[in-house]
Amino acid sequence: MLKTKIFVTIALVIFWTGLVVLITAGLTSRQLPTSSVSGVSVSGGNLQSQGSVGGVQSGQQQLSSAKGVNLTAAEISKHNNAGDCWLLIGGKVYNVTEFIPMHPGGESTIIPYCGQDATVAFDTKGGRGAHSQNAQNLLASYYIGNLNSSVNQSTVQKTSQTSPPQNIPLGDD
Amino acid sequence: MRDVLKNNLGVVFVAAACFFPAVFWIFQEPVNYRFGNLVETFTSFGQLLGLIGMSMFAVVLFLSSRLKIFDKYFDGLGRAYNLHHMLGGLAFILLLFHPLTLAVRYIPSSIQIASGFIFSFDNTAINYGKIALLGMIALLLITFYVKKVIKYQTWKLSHKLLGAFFFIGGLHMLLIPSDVSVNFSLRWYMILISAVGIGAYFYRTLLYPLSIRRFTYKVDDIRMAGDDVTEITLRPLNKKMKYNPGQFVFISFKNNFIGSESHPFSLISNFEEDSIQVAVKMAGDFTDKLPNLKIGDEAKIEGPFGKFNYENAKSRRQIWIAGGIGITPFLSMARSINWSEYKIDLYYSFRNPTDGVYSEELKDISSRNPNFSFLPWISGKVGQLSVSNISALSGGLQGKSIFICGPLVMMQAIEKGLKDEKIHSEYIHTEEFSM
Repeated sequence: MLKTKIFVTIALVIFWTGLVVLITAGLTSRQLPTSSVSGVSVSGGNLQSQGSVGGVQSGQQQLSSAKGVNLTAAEISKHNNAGDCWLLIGGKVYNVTEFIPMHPGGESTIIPYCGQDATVAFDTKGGRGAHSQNAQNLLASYYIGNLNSSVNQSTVQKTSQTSPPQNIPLGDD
Repeated sequence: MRDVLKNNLGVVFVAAACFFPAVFWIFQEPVNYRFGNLVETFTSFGQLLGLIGMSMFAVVLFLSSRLKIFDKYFDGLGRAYNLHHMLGGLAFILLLFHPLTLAVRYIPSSIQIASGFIFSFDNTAINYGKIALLGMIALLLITFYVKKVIKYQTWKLSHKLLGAFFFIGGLHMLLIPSDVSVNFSLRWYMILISAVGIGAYFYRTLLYPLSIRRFTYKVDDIRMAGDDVTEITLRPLNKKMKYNPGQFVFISFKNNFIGSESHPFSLISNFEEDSIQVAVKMAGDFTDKLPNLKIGDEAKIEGPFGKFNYENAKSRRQIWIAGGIGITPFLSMARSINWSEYKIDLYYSFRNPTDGVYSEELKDISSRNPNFSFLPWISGKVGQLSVSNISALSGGLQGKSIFICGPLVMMQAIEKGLKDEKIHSEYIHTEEFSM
């Protein structure tokens, strides 16, 4: 019983330390100054200003006088691989290229939908239920614009990669 | 060897029950999908911690049900309870790290999302999990750190409530989208094992007066066997309980002052007599009150349990080692044994000369039976009894069955000494008073 008590004590210390660190980090990152320059207004309401962590983009877009891109179905279908992956979900377009290796459900659940309408797959989590509010908040941070709207070319270029990331094997569809 | 396997079949069953879900889980998807990168790895570990934690918790509830078959398949009820304690702690640790690991996987994406995974409450299914875990933390903090300073009845009630939080955790497991929700075999295995755990919980906790067979006895005599040892004699009111020397029972008394909680006591009486006797050291809020029992008080007896008996040994040449109140099972055996068939050396270790309860009776038995050597050991005068002392006085240890019962520290020291002397575990029998 003594050994069990020792291990439980160690586990409790690690657990509570981890929780305190998480909440502190969460609160601290919320208070970090946001990027300057107002961006494209987005619907959906949950978009938060985030520091760039592991490649996650800021929720605010930078306007420029560069040429616009029309987010049509044809345009979306061009971004159809792991190295350049756009998804259409609920009438909104998202560039999830950088997110693919970080998807908790695995890369193989996203890649087949690159360049396509992934609304049903996202809403039903591939038949397993629904994505959590956290997941929806996370998706919002990859938002480019609404279907058939026009967005800034530099914005699109900034949020997509032209070559496949190193950690995804080619042909992993 | 066959006996060793049969006596430990329970442990094998428990291990299989706990880890079987992991086998289901691992074969559901290719391994590289599960552990392809850091995020997938944390997700997979988080899922495994939850699965194994839940199945282990169900087994822990099952082990608390005190079934008679535990004596047979766990080599004694005491061992089943030891497993209950150990697996309970381990299940708790696994379940603690389940949400933490799942939250950590979001860190590469967003610290806020990782933090929000723990500190948001918008998902009912996840909330069930949080409630269950918080409840378990609160109740197990009481068990691990506060138990000795609160009343036994208070602790017992808090411990019983764990079953309710296990049920809530089960709702979380079934309602969240996961491998359990999509895999038919895994889902039904988890439902089945959880049902076994909940069923055992109901059997032992809520249906106790109806579900458990007990014998009704009444207090026939109470006397002090030593400064702090109460001897209680009980006589059956209807059916007499059959038992073997060395076994123990759970007794609850119908006495308002003492309370009706049930406690384990080793029997010290001769199994052929109608009445039974127990000797209890005053060592806590319950045992301190036992001298206040009245002649005629009713008692409910559950049992008997235990395999600590000279007949369950490989050799009839035996060494019995008792420490303090651990003398009680040996007293029953000494009063019951056929001395012509066994040769016994009984070492009785106690701190001060006045602590050796029943020494006079054991000396008397020894004087009448040449096959029985009684060796009292006053540790306060000559130091702790060691394996080398025993080996020297008994002419060696090999080929002799050795029985040990006493304080945990003493038992652990003796067991270690015996293993250092290469005494095979088949020749070592222990009875622990730590239920």
